[in-house]
Amino acid sequence: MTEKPKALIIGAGSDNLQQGGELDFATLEIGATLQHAGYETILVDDNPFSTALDTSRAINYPHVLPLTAKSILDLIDQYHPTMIVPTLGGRRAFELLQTVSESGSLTEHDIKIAGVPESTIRQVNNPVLLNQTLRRLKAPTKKIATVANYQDALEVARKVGFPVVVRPVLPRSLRMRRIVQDPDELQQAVSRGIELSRSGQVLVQQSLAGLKEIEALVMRDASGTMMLLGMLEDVDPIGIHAGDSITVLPSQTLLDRQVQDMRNMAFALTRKLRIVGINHVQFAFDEQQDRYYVIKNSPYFDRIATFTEIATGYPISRVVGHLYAGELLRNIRLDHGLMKHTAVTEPVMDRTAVRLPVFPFEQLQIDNQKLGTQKKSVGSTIGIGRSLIEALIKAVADYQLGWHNGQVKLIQGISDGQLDQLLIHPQGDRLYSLIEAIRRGYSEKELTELTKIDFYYLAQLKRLVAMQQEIQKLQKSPAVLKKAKYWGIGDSKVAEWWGVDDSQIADLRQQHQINRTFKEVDPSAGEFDQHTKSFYSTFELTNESLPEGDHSILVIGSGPRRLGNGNANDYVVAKVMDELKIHGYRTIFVNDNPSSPTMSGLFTDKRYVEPLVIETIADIIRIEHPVAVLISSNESELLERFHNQYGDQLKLISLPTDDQLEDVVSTEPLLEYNALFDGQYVYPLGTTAALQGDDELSYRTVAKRYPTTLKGAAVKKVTDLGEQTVRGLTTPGLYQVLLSGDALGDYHVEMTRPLPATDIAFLSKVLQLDLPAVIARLAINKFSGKLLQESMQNEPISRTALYRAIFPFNALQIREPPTALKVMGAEMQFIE
Amino acid sequence: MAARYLILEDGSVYAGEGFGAPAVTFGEVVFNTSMAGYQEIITNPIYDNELIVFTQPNIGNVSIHRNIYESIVPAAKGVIVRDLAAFDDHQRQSLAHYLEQMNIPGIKNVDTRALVKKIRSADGPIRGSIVPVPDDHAFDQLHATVLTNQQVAQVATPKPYPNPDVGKTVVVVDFGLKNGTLRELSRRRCNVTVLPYTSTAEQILRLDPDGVVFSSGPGDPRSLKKSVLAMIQEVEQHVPCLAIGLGHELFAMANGANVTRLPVEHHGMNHPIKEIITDQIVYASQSVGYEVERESVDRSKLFVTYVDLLDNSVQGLRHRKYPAFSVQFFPGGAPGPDETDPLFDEFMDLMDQQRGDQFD
Repeated sequence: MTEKPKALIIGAGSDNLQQGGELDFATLEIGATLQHAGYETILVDDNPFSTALDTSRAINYPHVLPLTAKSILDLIDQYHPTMIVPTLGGRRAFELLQTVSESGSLTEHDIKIAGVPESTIRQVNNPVLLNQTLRRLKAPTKKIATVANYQDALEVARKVGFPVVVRPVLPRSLRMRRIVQDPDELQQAVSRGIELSRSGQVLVQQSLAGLKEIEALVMRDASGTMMLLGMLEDVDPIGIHAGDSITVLPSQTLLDRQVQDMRNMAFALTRKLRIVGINHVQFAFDEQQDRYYVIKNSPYFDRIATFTEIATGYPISRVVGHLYAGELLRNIRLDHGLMKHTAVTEPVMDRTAVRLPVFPFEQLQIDNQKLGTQKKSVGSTIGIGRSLIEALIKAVADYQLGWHNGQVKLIQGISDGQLDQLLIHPQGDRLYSLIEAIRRGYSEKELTELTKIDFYYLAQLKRLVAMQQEIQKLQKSPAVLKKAKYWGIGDSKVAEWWGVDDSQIADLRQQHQINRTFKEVDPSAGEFDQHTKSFYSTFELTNESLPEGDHSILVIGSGPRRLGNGNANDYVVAKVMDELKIHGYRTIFVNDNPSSPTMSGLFTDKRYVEPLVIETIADIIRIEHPVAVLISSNESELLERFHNQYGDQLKLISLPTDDQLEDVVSTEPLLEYNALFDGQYVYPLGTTAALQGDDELSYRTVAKRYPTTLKGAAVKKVTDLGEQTVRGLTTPGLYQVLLSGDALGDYHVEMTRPLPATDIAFLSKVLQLDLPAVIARLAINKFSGKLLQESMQNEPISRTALYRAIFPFNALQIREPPTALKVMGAEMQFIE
Repeated sequence: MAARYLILEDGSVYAGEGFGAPAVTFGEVVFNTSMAGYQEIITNPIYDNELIVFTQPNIGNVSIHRNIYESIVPAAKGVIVRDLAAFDDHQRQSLAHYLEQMNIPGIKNVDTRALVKKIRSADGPIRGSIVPVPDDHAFDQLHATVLTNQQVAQVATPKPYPNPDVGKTVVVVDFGLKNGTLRELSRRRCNVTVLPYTSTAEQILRLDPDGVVFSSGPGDPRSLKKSVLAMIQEVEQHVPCLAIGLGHELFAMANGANVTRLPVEHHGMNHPIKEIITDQIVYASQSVGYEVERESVDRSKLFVTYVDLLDNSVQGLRHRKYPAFSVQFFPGGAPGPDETDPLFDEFMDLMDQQRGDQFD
């Protein structure tokens, strides 16, 4: 038998502010597609929360290695891949690949780069080169210059006019982008930028702040066929980082002529860069001048690609997998539910999707909460609806800032002057500032001037405010309730405005047959009979969701990424679903995170892209009649409500909650004894030792090693104490006992808790044991201790593994102690 | 505005709210899957006798712009949407206001997705009516309504008119012309005369045109008088011809092909269309109710230049002997992609060559 061709995928590394689960999602889909096409896949990554690393249906050879050129070169020597994939690892993968390519290794081994020619990688890595290309294409771009000192920077700034944007050339790990208004700010930004630049240079650019931000997502194949996958529009103007902007698909405020002009330019650019796969082109659109500027070109996977995939139902990542395997768009055959030529048919939508960023302002002390050119959000939600308002409300529904929490009260209490400031310098809660301004009678025209937000969106918010007033006025009117539901307003919101219980609203709805209907996310807007098995809800005539089957489990996702468990939650949920499927369950999944590996069809048989609110989930249960409901860790409040509502009738399975994720800091060495308890026996999973923090004074569980360096009697002391503690528990599960050692060599139990998701992910990789599968098996009474012991004995662990959590503090320019509740991502490493 | 209902001849009722003109209206219900360009769509004369369902749920967002009309008086019989952006931006006319002025009823808050699925799975064209009360009387009226098949006569110009410029002299035969076609010719400096579709070959050729365009238009090409086919048969022998949409269907018929009605009309811009000679795939605005039967194309006279990959339908033809070609889709977009605009350049090239040949 001839050897299969191999594809080496460069991973994304730890989750950080710029990227997260969306790359894991795309890696899973592309990995699985390449396998189907006859490839073996290799993934190099150092992210302990990566689901792809632990999914053999996508990745044949996972390698936990530092993301360096050396690791890649070693893997090339080991596997002789025929293809290397740089589009799943963010910008860094492009930089790494350039280094690898310059070493001559790709030519030597005749390795094809998937998705982009080498020259394009160089251009994307170097804005000066890319700008030359743009100029050759006569693409309108902002004025830009590279300088190495303040004097030159000032000269440029005077020429193009303040404000200007300053960025380092070839930035080191930290990215910086600052908009400066005057020479003083410029001087500061230039010196900081030069510090951060590997070449000691900064770019000084004309500012396009205030213009409309448009994002085009394009697909191209090797024969030159190009299609538009989505034209997206940011509600927030340029000046607010695209990732912090509320993004709408499809664009709502562009004329067809403008869409076509930007489409043409995105095509021209994609053709020129000879991209095979996706290209994400960002534009600044000046409505007054009817003129656009190309501001960014990213030919790799990112949050917009996954958001577009989930919103349109067009399987972008899978199609790209086929393209990498050498197929053409016109020949790609997708799954059963989709028609013959869906891959080459531009997706159209009969729904609106909103991507809403989620900010960490409640978890972090950030003095400057103003939104700017540096990203501050840590996660996002997606809302899909049949109107813009419905989509927006659904995106907001699961957002931590409720309409009437402290923040809203605060905004209601401020003066008009202060409100103006909030409108001019928006913060994460800008939707509420806008709503408050509308309540106070600001006209859309005034608001457009203050916020640079398009008139259309303001008019929609105005409708919403009027709607709220109508609801408040006409208490308990079924007609008004019907209208409120039609607009996407939640039961609990109406209940709050009417001063009644949620259950009364539910009753009223039932009484008047105001029923939720589910519609399928199909890529042809209903023109063809196609099925993706992804659904969203609305309140219309017909329901399209039919029960998935009598052996289904409803899994409730963990919502948008937040600090703490981060994507480790998603890892656990995805892998638990994987195991449930092995045992013959149909997995039905509800989530509203557009950047999560859990949305992959590898783990889910059916998906509901919905906010995680009880009324929707209750309606899903009414349709699906699952045998059990599995609730993930982030949703403890939901869990409680569930227990109250369904406690007796439905089997509830809950995953480890992050309520237990207390930060433990000790001046004494801290150990974590990890074990599985099946109700009868304790299966030790080894002990990890917390590493000392940077201050070298304290131990924190955010950095650890496996195994510990304990020797002799101490090992026995710790394991005995740990085992004894776990044995005393009543509920089966994965546990962690925190122990601190004192100067006398004795150990004390600090706390016992369910094994946090972060540790489940880490230990699964260290022990090469599928711990989420254990959780799943325990839940469905299929656990076998014998199997576990056998698999643990098969592969004794000889290596030492290090785990280090990553925090968003640098990127957010704040200083805080690195505590477990603020973890953004993590890195891991094996040392011999 | 008050509650309004869309009723269909199969007895189904879709509740909604009225906007635009408060009149009762009848027509065939068709859906368009384009995600932008509602103004261009509504004003395209091809929608004569039709109620347009927009699958894109938010319509009216950019109001009405003075420079993107596709006709002066829109021929559509009604507009059906999920959500209407009802606002006045103080600069431009709102869609609702425009429709009211143009006496076109609209209905919003309709489950357009359910409606599209209904249309898609029907055996043939489905007629509907927007009414204030969905009672027996309304249904009786709907069933009794006979829609005219004289759509071209309703929308095409009865009189010739010029659109002068300094370049090539082009005659456009108007079957329900959309402005986009004239815009593309203007862009190429063509000196255009628009003639009624009833013009004879002699009347056309008397203007000594460099080329002739047979425009797009509404309705069934088979319902037009045979003299139209005779006119095309004559004209194509003398000057370069470009035929679009309905013009394409007539060009095919004039050269011996058959045209049939599609069970479901296709209006949108997302289908992959393959150009056979280059093997390239392009996207273009399509509004197709009738298609040229592929089997009926006389290969000794015509060859197929474009096909729609989704249904294999003929999307373009070229004459083997004469410098004449046709496309089912709309080059020039408005709304829609620009990828097929070069077809107008090709037409220009044909006119250049033809003149050259004559002087040789």
